[in-house]
Amino acid sequence: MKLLPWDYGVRNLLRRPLRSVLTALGLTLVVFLLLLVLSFVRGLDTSLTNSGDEQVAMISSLAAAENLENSSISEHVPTLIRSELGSMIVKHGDTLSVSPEFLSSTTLNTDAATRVAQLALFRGVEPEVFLVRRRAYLTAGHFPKAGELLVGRLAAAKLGMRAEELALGKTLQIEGKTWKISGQFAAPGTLLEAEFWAPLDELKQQMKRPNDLSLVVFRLNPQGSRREQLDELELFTRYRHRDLELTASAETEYYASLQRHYAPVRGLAWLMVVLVAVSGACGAVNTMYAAVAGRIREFAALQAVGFSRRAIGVSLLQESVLLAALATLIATGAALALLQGVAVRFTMGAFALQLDHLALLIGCGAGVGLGIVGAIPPAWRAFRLPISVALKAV
Amino acid sequence: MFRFLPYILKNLHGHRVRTLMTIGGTAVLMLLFSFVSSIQEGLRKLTDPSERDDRLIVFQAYRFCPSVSLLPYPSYDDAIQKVEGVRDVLPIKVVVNNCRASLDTVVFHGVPPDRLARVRKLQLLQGRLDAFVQRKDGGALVGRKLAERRGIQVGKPFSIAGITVQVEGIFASDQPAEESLVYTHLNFLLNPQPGHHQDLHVTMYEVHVSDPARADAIAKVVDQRIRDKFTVHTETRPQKAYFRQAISDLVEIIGFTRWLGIVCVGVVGVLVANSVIMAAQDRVKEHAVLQTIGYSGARIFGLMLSESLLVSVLGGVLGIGGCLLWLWWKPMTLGNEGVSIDFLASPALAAWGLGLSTLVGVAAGLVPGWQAARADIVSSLR
Repeated sequence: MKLLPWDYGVRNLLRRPLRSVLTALGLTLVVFLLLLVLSFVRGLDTSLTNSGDEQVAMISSLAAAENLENSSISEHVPTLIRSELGSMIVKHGDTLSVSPEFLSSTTLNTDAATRVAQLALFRGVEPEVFLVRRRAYLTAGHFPKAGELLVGRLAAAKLGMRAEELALGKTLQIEGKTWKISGQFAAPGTLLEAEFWAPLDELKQQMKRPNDLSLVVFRLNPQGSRREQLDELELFTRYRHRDLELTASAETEYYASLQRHYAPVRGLAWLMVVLVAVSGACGAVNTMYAAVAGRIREFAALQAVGFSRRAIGVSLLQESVLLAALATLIATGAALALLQGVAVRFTMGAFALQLDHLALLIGCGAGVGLGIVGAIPPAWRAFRLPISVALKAV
Repeated sequence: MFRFLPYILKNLHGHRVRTLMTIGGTAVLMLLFSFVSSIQEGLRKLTDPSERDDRLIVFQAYRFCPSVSLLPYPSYDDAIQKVEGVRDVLPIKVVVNNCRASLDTVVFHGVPPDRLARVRKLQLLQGRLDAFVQRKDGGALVGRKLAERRGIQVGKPFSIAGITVQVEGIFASDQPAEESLVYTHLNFLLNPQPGHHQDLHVTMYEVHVSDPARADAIAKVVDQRIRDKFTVHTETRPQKAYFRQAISDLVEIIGFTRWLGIVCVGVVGVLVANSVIMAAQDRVKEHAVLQTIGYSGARIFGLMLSESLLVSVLGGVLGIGGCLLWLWWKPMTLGNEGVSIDFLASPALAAWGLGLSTLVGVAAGLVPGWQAARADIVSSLR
């Protein structure tokens, strides 16, 4: 098949520059909108997926369901876990990877007198937390001693503060008591990054719940059979310690349940993606119709001199895709510069907008797809007429 | 200008695909714009500080999640009732199916039924209030919006979050947030054991004051009175301030959707402008002929502007109308920490959307209309 020269299509775009620029602008905005919504969906999904470690299991209160902040279990549970389940838990020297934790959501004030109290999530932890939560690590300072706490990398975003306000050495007011920031931690891609971590016992005292814990997390031995390990956990919680009203699950299951909880929100976001894409397709079809409408005679003449319909169709497709690809490139560049990694405060935490490979693939695919969709109906219209009739068309 | 309407319609009809694509694209984008604006409207209505109200919320100090605010009952109830200026007190036990942001939050408010009838202006749409008052083993009144969303019917049981209630009525309220609640008996949620005489725990107290102008002063007195007498301290705020804090985690996301709406309107502008430019370019000769037979440049400008306006407004009407229909058919609520924000598609919102469509239509038609009006007749005829 003999194709039309590449620059034929390019020149056609330049024949009506204002129209081409406006179409490119419209498509750029559409692709940017798509990427904006996709970055939100992927950021939320990624943070929920990454937050769960497949080697980690957790035991919490049966009554708390998905709200771990409501969970209250006996402070003796970690001891029971160490003694009865120790054989299936990863050991570091003599230390088992077991982390008793206490979760509490409360308000926090900074030094600044003008600032309104903010809602924050606190986790009481012991140093063993880093044995279990493998993604978490200290980026500055030291593990908190009495009256000190660690600040997550996204905690400032969660509170709507500047990072400097949560710098090392700064003090925070929590329920009337002053705490000093001893360090900062990161746990890339997880919801943990929006939290404050304080010494377990001290936080429990402060929250007036000295005798209970929220949950115990521990790292299961990867060599063992996962099925058997989960059966053993079931036995531990449902039969051996039925009176403690405990429930056990893999940490990934807990975050999967949160993902199910957010499914309607994600569904709404996906609906927005589809609606934005439909409006973009309308714009692209419009432009290509106009590009074809005035050139029916031209296409007939090209056919008369030997170019096949397919070749002309390819040239039309090239015009449309070129414009859409340019718009997609600009939109993707802008989105990467403006959106990637931006921290978004969300319920019970914060996460970073994520333009990962999937978001980029869908966004760019949709952008280029709009170009293809835009070219097909007008091309169909252009070749509907026989050459002899088309040559007489005005 | 109306006598030229048939000419404009004929032009639009002559380019059916272009017209349909432009109107369709505009409608979809205006639907999206109206949708994101409706949640902003719901947020504004819920938290508007300019609307003075006579309700204070007494919550456990420093806490914001309903599940962690535990205020003794009835000892605090008695203490608050005695504060001067307090007209009525409603102890409330809040149970929510999930504290996190959700499009399907169900919030139970356990209240003493006799006091509910006294302090709330509930309009019962179905069922009977006395049946609710008498049904102590889980009788419930369900808000209209929740009933529509969940298909709840009077006389049938309704279960969620481990609680099963018997629906005795469906109510409407002048407060949009209340129409997403389930009211049930306080004792049903507290479940006191026979012979139990110690304090139980409610989530909050709703205080009605005699003089709204004194609400802030009364709030301070309530907190001080509790501080003087009890160990668990409280924080008392006007109801809207309480709402603002409970949903503060969502304010950023909702603010974020405002930008989405603005970009949507921008894309509508580009879409309509592009379409009008195409129309103008296609009809260069036609406009020159019109000018030759005596049509002024201003008339041509008016025709182009009208075409742009018509397309944009039609798209706007379809999009905004679609959004109103959608939210009427499927009412939506975004909940967080037991507080619900309704997606409110009010007449004011529809008027604002239509105004914006009109503005976009005018703006999009200005440049192509101006160009068409000022085109040189001779060169255009060629």
